[in-house]
Amino acid sequence: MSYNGNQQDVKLLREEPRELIIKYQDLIQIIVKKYIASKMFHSSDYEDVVQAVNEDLLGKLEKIREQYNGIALLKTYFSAIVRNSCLKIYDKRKKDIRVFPLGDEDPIVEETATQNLAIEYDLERLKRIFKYYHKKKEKVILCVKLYFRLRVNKGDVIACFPDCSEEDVLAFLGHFGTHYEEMDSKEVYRIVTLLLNNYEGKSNTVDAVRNWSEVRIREIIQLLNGKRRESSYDKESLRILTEKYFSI
Amino acid sequence: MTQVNVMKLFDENLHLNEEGVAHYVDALKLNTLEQLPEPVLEHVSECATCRLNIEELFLLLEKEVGKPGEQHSIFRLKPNLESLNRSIFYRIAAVLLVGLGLYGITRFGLPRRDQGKIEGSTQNVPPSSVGIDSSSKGTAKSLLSDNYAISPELEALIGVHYRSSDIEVESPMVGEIIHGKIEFKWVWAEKGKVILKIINNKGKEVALVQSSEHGYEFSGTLERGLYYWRIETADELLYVGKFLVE
Repeated sequence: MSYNGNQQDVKLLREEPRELIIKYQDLIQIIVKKYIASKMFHSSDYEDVVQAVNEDLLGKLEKIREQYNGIALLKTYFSAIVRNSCLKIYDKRKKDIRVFPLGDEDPIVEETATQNLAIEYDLERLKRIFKYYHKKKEKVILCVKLYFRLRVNKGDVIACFPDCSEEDVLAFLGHFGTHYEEMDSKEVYRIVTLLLNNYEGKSNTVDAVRNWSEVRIREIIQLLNGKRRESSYDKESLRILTEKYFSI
Repeated sequence: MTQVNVMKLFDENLHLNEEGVAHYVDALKLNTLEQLPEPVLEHVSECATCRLNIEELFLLLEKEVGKPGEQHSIFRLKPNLESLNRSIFYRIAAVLLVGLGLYGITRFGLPRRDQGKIEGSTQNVPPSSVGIDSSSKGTAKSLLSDNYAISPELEALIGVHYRSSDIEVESPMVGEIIHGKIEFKWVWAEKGKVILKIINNKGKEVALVQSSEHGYEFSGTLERGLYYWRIETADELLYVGKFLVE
């Protein structure tokens, strides 16, 4: 096997860990800058935060060396540690009340999610978010479509319920395969619950299914927003995003 | 593909630790999610905290780690045809075709290879009961998902280094999805009989075979689901793996 970059870094971790931190300075700086861009830190704190991260890393070098099992790429693993370091620094600083002067480079701008959707980028994010749900992915997609009253197709139903009879598929599409924006939420979930219970062999209540959908929607919004101080996504902007996603 | 000790990816609270999160992010970037251990995939599908951690780390590293072409010790990377030099690709394909052709010519007409004495018995377990806990409520169809549930006890045995004299398993690979016959193959420097056991995800032994050779072809019928398999001698365990039957 050729000696690739990761192997070189692992060797450095084992033999000269301080040199590894020096090598990864660019990575540390990039991560701190990204947190500044997300407003977790102020731009004037950049050097302080980088220094604090480096001090934190130096303090736990031995622990990093012991705990790394060679499963993930070292750079990714190291990034996870730097990330946690930044979060720790942020938590510590949150307690301080600080005032930042406004300059030309830091204007206050009224931003709304609908004005600033970076659509293509967020479509990729949504695709990745669905993957996180693994075997529940199809069920999550179906619930998202129903939640936002988007048209359901046969593929959605079969992906969720592979053993669904043709009759049930047609009946389901009869309700949700066309426009149903005006349908009462209770009715939507009543029909979905019937199908779920029938093909999953469970006895969910309508409220339970509705709550399950609601929680998934909130999770997706939370994933899209991350730890940014301002929330970019809300239900309305997620609806716009999912409309775009499923129309492609 | 190197086996992964799944427990090393979780912390004491049974969430993904830093390396677990990093491993998932590696898989996302290299488009090898399906090669992640099932317990990891299952946990992330259930855990909002771990999903958040993964998504955030992924976004931090979007243009950084895991660029195409970088080797990974765990994942088999899929070839990116767009970036491959086409002439090199066609040359490799040509060599492989010629090689396959020669292999077919030399193979044709040779007597079927003896896979060694097979002693002991293969328990005939009816397909309908394999992998299904008949005491559970619900229809057989609805319990199909139970057939894929991992067994934490058996998962913990996968990837563990049992002996200094290594047994090298050629097939099936950990987590491999199998249709039809199952070819068990391994290389082991020592001579002597080994016992091969196939166990369903409920811990029930569904096949037991003794073999003095380094392979066994299982042609019985297994219900769709997750199975574990063990190679052991009379004295010790040599290997634990798992595969999925579809």
